[in-house]
Amino acid sequence: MTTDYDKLIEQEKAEAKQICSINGDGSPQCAAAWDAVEEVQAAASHVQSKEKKPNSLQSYCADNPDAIECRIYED
Amino acid sequence: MVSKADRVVLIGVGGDSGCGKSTFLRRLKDLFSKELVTVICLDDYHSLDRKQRKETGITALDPRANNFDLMAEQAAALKSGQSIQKPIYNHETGKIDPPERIDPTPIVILEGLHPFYDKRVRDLLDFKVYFDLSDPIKIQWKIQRDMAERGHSYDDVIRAIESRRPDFSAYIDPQKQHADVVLQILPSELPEKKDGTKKIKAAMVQVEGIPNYDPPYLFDRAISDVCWKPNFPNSDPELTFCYGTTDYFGRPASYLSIDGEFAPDDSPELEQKLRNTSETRFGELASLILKHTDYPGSRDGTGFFQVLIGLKFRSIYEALIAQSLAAAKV
Repeated sequence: MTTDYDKLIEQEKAEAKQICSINGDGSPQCAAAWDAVEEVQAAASHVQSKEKKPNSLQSYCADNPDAIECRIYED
Repeated sequence: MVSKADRVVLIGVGGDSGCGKSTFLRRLKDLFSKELVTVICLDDYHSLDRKQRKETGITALDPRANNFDLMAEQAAALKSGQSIQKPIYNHETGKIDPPERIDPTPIVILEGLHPFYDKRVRDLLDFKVYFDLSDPIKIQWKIQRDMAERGHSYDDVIRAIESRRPDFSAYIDPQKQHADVVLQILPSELPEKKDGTKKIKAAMVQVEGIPNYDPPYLFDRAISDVCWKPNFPNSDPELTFCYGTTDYFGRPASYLSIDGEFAPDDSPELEQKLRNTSETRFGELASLILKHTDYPGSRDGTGFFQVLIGLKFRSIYEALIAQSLAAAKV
């Protein structure tokens, strides 16, 4: 299960804009709402840098480490 | 796991989100086997969840959104070799999840927005690193991260930075005066890159008198305020490497700076002029840069100094372990 960060970021951003238009740009509520956007964006970029999709050989070898293409003897 | 007799070395890594902390942590993990290192993200000590912060108008940067009593208590427990039940802040849901058990390892890293804010936590730390990102580069990096990757507009990036700025200046930025080593990321005065982005001048400021730390310097410790323009064929013609002494918030300090970009292949020659790198073998610093040219900052002082700070931390760690072994023998 992966989170749809793009959707989450869009939601937080829309909320921030709304909160800021009600409370004013300098308000603490506006700051907290943009801070929430920042937090979700940071989380998304950390996930992205961690999750490089394995290529087909890597996923095949994860499932079949004994296959001839996948054996590595560390000697 | 550490037995009671062993020494747990605590390191604090501070700075705003997106300042290069996580790249630095990746570089530290290249130096130590993962069994040795535990990373604690200090967001786990949020006392208010995302919804509560928005309702009360308190950002995560605000000390009121963080539980420093619990942070201090658990940092002390880890340092004395005890396991803790650490809360988990879930960045996806914005909620505080049930706690998990953390067993201390020989190195515990406290990483986040407020590692040096509370005196009790600060005094437990054996080494304190702060990442000080200047505004023009903060904007540039956020644009690269948020605009290119996620369709954020330029105005949104600026608004997000502006609205967080008062709390950042009040609570996060002042912590740098407590750090042992500060990595400053500044805009270079050299001409912009072809894509219109600014080059970086990175400066590593180290205060005097850090326990078990022998500051690195260029050429000769006795000669301060010296610069070297190496003139490598594949690097900036203006690439400049400097060393000098300075005053950092009333504390005597020295600094190293690298202005401009270099080809990673030139890093062995850059490091040759550097003394006190705490390498265990000649060329280790350059080989660590060359091992991961994919990490951001590998072509400028950002990555170079991240690796150097890592090497310096390793020598602090080894000195502390040697002291505790010697004490155990008596």
